[in-house]
Amino acid sequence: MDITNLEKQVLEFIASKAENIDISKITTSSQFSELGFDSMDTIQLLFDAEEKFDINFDSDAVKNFRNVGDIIEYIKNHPPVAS
Amino acid sequence: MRVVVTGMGVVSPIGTSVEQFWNAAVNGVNGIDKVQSFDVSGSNSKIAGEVKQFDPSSFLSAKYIDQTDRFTQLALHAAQQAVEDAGGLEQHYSPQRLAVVMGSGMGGFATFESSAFRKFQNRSIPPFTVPRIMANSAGAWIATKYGFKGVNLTCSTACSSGANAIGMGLELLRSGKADAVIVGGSEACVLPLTMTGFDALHALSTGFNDQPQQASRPFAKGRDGFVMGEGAAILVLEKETAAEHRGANIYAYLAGYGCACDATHIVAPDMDGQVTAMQTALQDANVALDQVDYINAHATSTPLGDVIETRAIKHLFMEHAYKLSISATKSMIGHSIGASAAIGAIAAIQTLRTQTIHPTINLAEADPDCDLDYTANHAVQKKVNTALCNAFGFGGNDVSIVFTNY
Repeated sequence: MDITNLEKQVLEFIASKAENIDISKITTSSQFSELGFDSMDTIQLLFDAEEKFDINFDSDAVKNFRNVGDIIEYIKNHPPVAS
Repeated sequence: MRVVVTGMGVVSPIGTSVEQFWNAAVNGVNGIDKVQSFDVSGSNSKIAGEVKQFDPSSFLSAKYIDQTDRFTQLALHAAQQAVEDAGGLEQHYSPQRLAVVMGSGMGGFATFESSAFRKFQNRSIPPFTVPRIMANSAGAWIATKYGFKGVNLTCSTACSSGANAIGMGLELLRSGKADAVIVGGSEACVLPLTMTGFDALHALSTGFNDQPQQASRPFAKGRDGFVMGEGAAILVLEKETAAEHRGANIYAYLAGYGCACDATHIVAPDMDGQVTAMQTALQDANVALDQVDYINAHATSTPLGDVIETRAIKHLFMEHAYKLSISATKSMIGHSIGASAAIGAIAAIQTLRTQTIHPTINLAEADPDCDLDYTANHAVQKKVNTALCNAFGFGGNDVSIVFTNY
């Protein structure tokens, strides 16, 4: 997947899940908490991201996810799940 | 102290408001069709009463939808109708005095089935799998959405869950543990595993897959099991004096509640428990047998169940059994398990309000063992002061509730 395109898709995905946050306010360094996601919301967000981008996050790696860039980096470095 | 009904809401295969539901019920509208929500090619029973075109995003945020099972979403829709209908609960009562009692036989089984399927494929599961499945989630979400901080209970007695929830709400008001109670039932189990499970017991209709509209036929010749349904119904209960004082619309008295257990068989019905439930409900309401004008029957369309209920009514009411009117809401919407008695309660209250008894459809020819007046095929206008609503569940859990005219 094209990197720039991937970034755009992830930002659009985050914007679709955030409540009352405009996509122009979301960057790769945006922390989930800054975007209104509490800890349980973040777990749901990451599950939805797995579905959206056809990937399985490693359960240890996911505990260190703090910002939007962490999702993008993980997807870049891991191939999609064979479906 | 008397308890009254001041708010109602319903989501059913024939209507998603009380007005729409009741208009359809009186006109004998049929809500049974081929299952649309999943592929039934591997199922013996291929028909159901589904709530079609139910769009939770029309009243819930994306976050609520992610965190709730369909049975909770149906309950929240019915609760919204009922709370708005009652009006002013939050203004007149403190949050700690506003209680919720819900019934569900299966809880969040849509989530259970879909998450189990994912797990067996070694895929991750939705993080809210457990809070979506748990049977108390509908009651918990109603409380959360409206800030009702009083008693919050969930009753799971299979097909009588909704009726027990209504009765438990009555007892909370009588014992002074609440000032108003949101009561009702919710179920969403038009699902592949759940339906296969009921079919494994030979409980579901399988002979009418090509004529779904004729499948749910309580008391009729040729019936071969119940048709799975889904839905939710909610009532708002208050003490009569407080409801009058705040100027609430009052629909009916919830006058009595009776509950018994067959204690004989885990799924086969037994007449004695049903008689005890009806008798104790009428005693609780201080109503004589010959004062009962209408029974909203449990009547699921199983070969055995409808005969046993008929026998129970005849045993208790004797000659009056032939004078009272009976009808089966399930003939139009199928069997919505834990929601069914709450929907039946709405039908009973609407009967009192409109003096109209909705029909039992698909009753061209009755089973010779079912020889009472089941209001076959056409609605009837009749003076109705007292209505009994029956609900008999797996586990031998028998419940009757009594509504009287306000």
